Amino acid sequence: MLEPHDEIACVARCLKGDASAFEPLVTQYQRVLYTVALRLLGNAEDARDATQNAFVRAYQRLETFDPSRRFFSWIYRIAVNESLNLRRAQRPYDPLPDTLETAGGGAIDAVEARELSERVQAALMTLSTEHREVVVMRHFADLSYEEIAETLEIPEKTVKSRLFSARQRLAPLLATGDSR
Amino acid sequence: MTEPDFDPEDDLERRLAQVAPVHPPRDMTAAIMARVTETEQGFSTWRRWRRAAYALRLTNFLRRGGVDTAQGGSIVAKKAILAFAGVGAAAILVFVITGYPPTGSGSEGAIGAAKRDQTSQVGAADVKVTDAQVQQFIQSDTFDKLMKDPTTRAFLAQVASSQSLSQSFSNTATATVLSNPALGTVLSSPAQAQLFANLANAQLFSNPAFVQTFSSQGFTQLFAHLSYAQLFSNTAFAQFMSNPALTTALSNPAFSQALSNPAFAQHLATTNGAASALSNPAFSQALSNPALQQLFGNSQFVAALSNPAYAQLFSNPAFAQLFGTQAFTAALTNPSFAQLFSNQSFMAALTNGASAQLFSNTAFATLLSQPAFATAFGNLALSQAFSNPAFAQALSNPALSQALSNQAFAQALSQQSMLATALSQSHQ
Repeated sequence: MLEPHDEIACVARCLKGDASAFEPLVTQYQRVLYTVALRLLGNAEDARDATQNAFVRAYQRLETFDPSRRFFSWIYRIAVNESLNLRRAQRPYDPLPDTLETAGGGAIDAVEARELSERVQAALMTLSTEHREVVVMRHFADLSYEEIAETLEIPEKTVKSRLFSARQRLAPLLATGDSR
Repeated sequence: MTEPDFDPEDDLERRLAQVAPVHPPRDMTAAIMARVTETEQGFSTWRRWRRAAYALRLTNFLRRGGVDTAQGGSIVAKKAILAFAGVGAAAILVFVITGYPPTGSGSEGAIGAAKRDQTSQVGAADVKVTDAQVQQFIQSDTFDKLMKDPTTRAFLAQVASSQSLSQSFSNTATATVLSNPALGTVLSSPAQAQLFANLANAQLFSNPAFVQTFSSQGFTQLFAHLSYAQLFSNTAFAQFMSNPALTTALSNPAFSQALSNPAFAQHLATTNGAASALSNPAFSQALSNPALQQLFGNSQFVAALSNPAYAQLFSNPAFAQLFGTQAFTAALTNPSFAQLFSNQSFMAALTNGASAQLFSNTAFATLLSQPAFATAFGNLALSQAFSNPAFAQALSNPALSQALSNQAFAQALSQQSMLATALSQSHQ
C-alpha cells in the first residue's frame, strides 16, 4: 500500500524518465479503476480499454498532477472521463461475459453469482452517471464518503444525498424474489 | 476504508454485498506497462526536459513537507549553471531544450515539428549526444541546479515558446559553439546567463546571420578568451549585441566576417573602451549604413580595428558621431582612405586628442567625404605629414577648423596639387 508521499516519489521518478516507477501505481489502483470502469460501462472489454487508456493518459499527463491532491482522485477522474468517452463512442450495454474474472463465488454458486452480477449491472445502468458513480465507488470500490467526496470534488453530504437517491431507485430493482 | 452505515439486514445492501468483487485481467499490468514504456520512449527530448523540470518541483514539494514553493519561482541559485564545463554538457542542454537530434515520435506540437525540420542539418561532424546521455544529464545534480535557477528557466522558456529560437538552437553551428567548454565557464556567472536571456529576448539567435557569426571561429575564440566574461558582463557590449542595427548589419557578409575575425574578437575582449565605443548610438546607427558594412570587408580596416589606438578613437564621442554622418561613411568606402587605416602614422594622428576634436567638425567630415581628398590621403606625403606633430597640432587649431567650415576652402584643399603643396610646407 503506497502512502501519498510514496506516490509522489513514484510520479517524480516517472517524470524523470523512469517508466518502471509507474508500475506500483498501476498495481495499487488498477483493480479499483477497472471495477469502476466495468460498472460504469457494463462491458468487460470496454472496461479493460478504459482502464488501460486511463493509466496511459495519466502517464502522459503526469506533469499536470498536483501533488497537493491525492493521486487516486486525479487518476480516478481520468478513468471516469475515459469510461464516459468510450461509452459515448461504443457499444451499448452488454451483459457481463462468463469469462469475467471474479474473486470466487462464496456462498452462492457461479451461476447464481453471474446472474446476480448481471442483475446488479442492469440495475446500475438505469441510474444516471452521477448516481451510478457514487454507488460504484461506495459499494464496489470500497471508498469512504470522505474519499468519494474528495475524488468527485463534491461535499460529503452531497455524496450521501446522491447515494440515498441511488439506493431508492435500486432497491425495487434488486429486491429479493422480485423482478427477473 | 469502509464505514458500516447501512443496516446489514437491509435487502439492497445484502444484494450488493453478494456481488463478487471483480479483478482486472491478469495481463493488464503488463499491457499497461508496455504501453507506458512505449509512451515514454515516444517523448521528445524537450518534453522530457519539461517533465523532468516538473519532477524537481515534486521533489521540492516532498522535501518541504508538502509546501509547493517552486510555483512562485522563489528558489534562487547563486550560480546559473554550475559545473557546466563537462564535456558536451552544453550541447546536451541544447538538445534537451530543442529535442535535437530527434528521438522518438516527436509528436508534441510545434516544437516537435520544428525539430523534424532540422534533421537535414545534421552532419557527420555534429556533436553526438545519445539518448542515454540526455537521460543521465536529466537525472544529474547539474540538471537540478539548472532547473532551480530562475534565469535559466526563463531563458529555456523563451527558447521553448519561440519556434524560431528553437530552430536557431537546433542549428548545428550553435550547438557546436555551445558545446565549447569555454562557454560553460562563461555561463557560470549569473550576469552572463542573464545576458543570454536578454539575447533571447532580442531574438538575435533567430537571426541566421547572427547565428553564423556567433558560431564562427572568431567568436568561438572570443568565448575562449579569459576577458570574454568581462566583455559580456559589460552593459554597453550587451546593448551593442542586442542592437537591432547590429542584426541588420550582420546580414552583410562582410560585416559578419569582420566581427568573427579573431583579431577583432580579441580586440573587443581585451581593449578597454572597445565595447563602449561599439555601443555608441551614433556608431550603432552607422552600422546600418551599407557603406560602413562594406568597409568591414576590407581586411586592412579590420586589422586596424584591432589596433589599440582604434579603440581610443572610437571612445571619442566626436569620432563616433562622425561615423554617423553619411558623408564620412561614404568616404570610408574609398579604397585609398581605407588603406590609410593600416598607416600607423595616420592612426596615431587620429588618436591625437587634438585632432579628434576636428572630427566633430562637420565641414571636415564633408571634406573627408570628397573623393579627391580621400585619394590625397593615400598620398605618401600625407602619411608622412600625419606623423608630424606640428601637422597634427595644426589640424586641431580652431582657426583651421573655421577655415574648413568654409566650403570654398575645403574644396580647394581637396585639390590634390594644393594639398600636396600645403603638406610639403607643413612637413618642413
